Amino acid sequence: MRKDPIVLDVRQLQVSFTTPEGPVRALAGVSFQVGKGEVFAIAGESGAGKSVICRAIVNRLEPGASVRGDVWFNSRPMLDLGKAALRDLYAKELTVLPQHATALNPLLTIGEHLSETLSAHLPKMKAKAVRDRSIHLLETFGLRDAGRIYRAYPYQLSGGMKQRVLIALAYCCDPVLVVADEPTKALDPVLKETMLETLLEIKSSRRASMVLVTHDLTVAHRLADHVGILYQGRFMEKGATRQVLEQSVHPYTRMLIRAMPENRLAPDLEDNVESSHGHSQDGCPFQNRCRWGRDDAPHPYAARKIDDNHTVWCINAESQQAFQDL
Amino acid sequence: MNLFIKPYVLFILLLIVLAVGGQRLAPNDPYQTHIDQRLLPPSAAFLFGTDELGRCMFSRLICSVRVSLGLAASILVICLVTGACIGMIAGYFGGLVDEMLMRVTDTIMALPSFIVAMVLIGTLGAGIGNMIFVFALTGWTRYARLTRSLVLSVKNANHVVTARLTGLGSVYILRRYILPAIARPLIVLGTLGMGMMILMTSSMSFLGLGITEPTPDWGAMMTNGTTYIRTAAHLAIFPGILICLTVLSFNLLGEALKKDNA
Amino acid sequence: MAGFFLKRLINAVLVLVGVVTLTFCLMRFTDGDPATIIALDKYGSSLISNTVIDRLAAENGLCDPLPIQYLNWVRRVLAGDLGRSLRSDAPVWDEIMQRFPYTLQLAVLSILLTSAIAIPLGIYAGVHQDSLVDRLTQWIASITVSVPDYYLAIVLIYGLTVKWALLPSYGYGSIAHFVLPLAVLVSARAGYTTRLVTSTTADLMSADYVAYAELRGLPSHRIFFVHILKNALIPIVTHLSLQFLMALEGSVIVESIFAWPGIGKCLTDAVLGRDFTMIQGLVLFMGVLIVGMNVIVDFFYILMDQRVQVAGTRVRS
Repeated sequence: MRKDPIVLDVRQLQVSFTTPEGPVRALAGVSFQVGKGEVFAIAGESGAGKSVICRAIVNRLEPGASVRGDVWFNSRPMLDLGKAALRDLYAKELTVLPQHATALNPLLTIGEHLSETLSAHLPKMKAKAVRDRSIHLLETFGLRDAGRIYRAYPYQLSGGMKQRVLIALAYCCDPVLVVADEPTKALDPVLKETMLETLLEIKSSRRASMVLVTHDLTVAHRLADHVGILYQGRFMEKGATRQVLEQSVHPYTRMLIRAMPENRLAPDLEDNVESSHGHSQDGCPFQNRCRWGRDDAPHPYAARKIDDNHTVWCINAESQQAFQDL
Repeated sequence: MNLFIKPYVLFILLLIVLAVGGQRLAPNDPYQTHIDQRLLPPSAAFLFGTDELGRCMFSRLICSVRVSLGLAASILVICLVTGACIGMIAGYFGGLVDEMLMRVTDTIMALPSFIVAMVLIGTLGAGIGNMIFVFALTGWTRYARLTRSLVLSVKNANHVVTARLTGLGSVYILRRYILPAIARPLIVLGTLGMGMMILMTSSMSFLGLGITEPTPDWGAMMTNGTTYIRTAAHLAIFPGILICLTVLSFNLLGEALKKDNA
Repeated sequence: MAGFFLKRLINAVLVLVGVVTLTFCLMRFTDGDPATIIALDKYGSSLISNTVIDRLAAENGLCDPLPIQYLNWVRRVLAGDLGRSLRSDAPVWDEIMQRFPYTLQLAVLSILLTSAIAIPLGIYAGVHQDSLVDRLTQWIASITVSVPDYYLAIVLIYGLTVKWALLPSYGYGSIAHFVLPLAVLVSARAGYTTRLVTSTTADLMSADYVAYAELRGLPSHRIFFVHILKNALIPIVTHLSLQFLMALEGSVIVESIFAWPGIGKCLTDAVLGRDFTMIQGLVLFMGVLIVGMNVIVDFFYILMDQRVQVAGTRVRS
């Protein structure tokens, strides 16, 4: 399927949490692959399980979580690695791009953040080299007057500047894969645009792969090569961005796209029943909200390949083509 | 609720029963002296022994519950109500009123409340009324602070803003929206504060500045006990255990309520 | 930074002025004529006559209108004259100065001991939440906080002095004399302080930047010392002023029970003996102490928290 070397390979990932009300299945068998230099977006509404995937990839799930399946990163089994091995990987090969600037310690300067990360993974570097590289990084990511910012505390910077610092921190050790959990969620439109442009630029210049989690389909459309639509812990549709978002087949994807303000079409509210979480049916989880799910027979959750770059999990897939205009 | 089976709750209920029942529940008259039976250790006739005037310690302890617990509870209730009112006014009306009230609150909060109470008692004289006044003067600040922050967070909640926009009066909003929101946390803080109040009032009586003989009071009984520590230790040990258990029970109850509330 | 500190300093001065004024009002608050009270205390009721009272009133300047009395009082205070004790006729200032070192020793030692116990324990319990240590310290803290100071003192006296004559139960003299008073002072404060440190540390453990530090693969000693400890130290240090307050309040009971010749016992005796000038002087003195302590702690807080230091200096991009 892919000619590029595969950086991240997630196979049948299942995650459950134990809650006072019983076990809750957050992910019910998710699989995807990310190639070198590619961006894979995971899109879906709140509670679909997107953040759980992020945490699973970096092996930072809560202690009470039970996991099945595999996560292979550069041929290493992430879920089996111990703390020391993970610490080695973090920042150097696999990083997280945090959503909020609260990820910065208010009592440390920006420079201290950068230098501690660099020193931890590149111990041979001398202090001056570390400093120079840090300042250079800040400049690369669009922060002018990098010297002053190097000496500044997070408190002294504006929201946009802190965002850039976070990006610089994420990429400072040249990682192979960056996991970004809703990077534009907390940003106003101007900052969001700047962030998207920065990420696009990084994508073309650095060849770093990215797993991008978002609820915003426009972000997925701009940045991602491939996208997966997640619903209640399972993919409903997956494939190349163009095809999934512009030639969507699954009713859920259609609903999401129709519901976007840009499309000026309101979602069909009468069909839009609140999704209920947690019940572990093995059939199609979307059935009770789907206008084609009104028959009493349970629909199976089965994959249909539309072509090499497009898979959908819906038994009405073939006949969907006839509903294009709806 | 499974809260009722906990030992500390049962103990507090026992205390309430003793406080309400008072002298009727005591086997002997707590004020009755038996000069020929002074400083006796625990026996069948006198369960906790007798004090230096031959009075039954057990009966005195039972009666002391009403006095000491009642005093602490009264002060606490006054502090709660005063603090809640001040906090509500400050939080709800904001602006200059808030600023000024909080200034006063912070200043009083910074003072060592026990020392202030001591000095005031020294100036005004001992007695229950003065005790209540003196401790209530500095005790309300925590409740005011809590109430104010709760009110601030509720005030800006959507349903309250909507209520105000639809023209509902301030008093109505205070009563139906804000009061329910602050009631539970205040009760939790009050329960936790009860232990501290008992400790402070009994310390004051211990120093001889609060409730004095012959009224049976925990602090006063402890002072007595100190004098006779070498010859009749039971005079001090038993009241002390009662105080510890009471404070501990209130603290545990408060902690449990806090977890429940969170 | 200088601006912030100046503001706190002005605040402190205002509070001091308030303390002086309130102390002045204290004396006038008493029931009955101050001159009569002084006379009664000095000479006993049998020797009182109106002439004596009038003479005393004139001596102590109690005939002048209130504002003049206030100004005189302030002038005298600034000159270091706090009046004379009604009991012993000794200058109040001398009495306080003679006794203060004893209290200071006890207070400093108790704060040091409390911190030495509470800070490491609290941090450990906060880092390893729900561990055996954590639950044990919570449990012990609940108990120590519930025991009144005077009860613990009595029990210790009974156990260690009466039953087994191991330690002296009163007075000041040797290191042995320190043991019991310190034990009482430390036990309750240690419980409270440990819980405070634990909750502060626990809050920090779940801070975003701690999680992100881990996600950047930083070595655990770096995370602990720089990200957790450094941020925890600030609230702990600011808590020191509260510790000092608690030590002062605790000293009142502890010194009385153990006959420790400090200002706590002095206050108790003065209150019991209605020695108003002494009470006034002590209130003023303690007020100054507390305000001074707060200012010092504020100073350290400013040094440690850069946010306050650089407040107002935004970097423009």
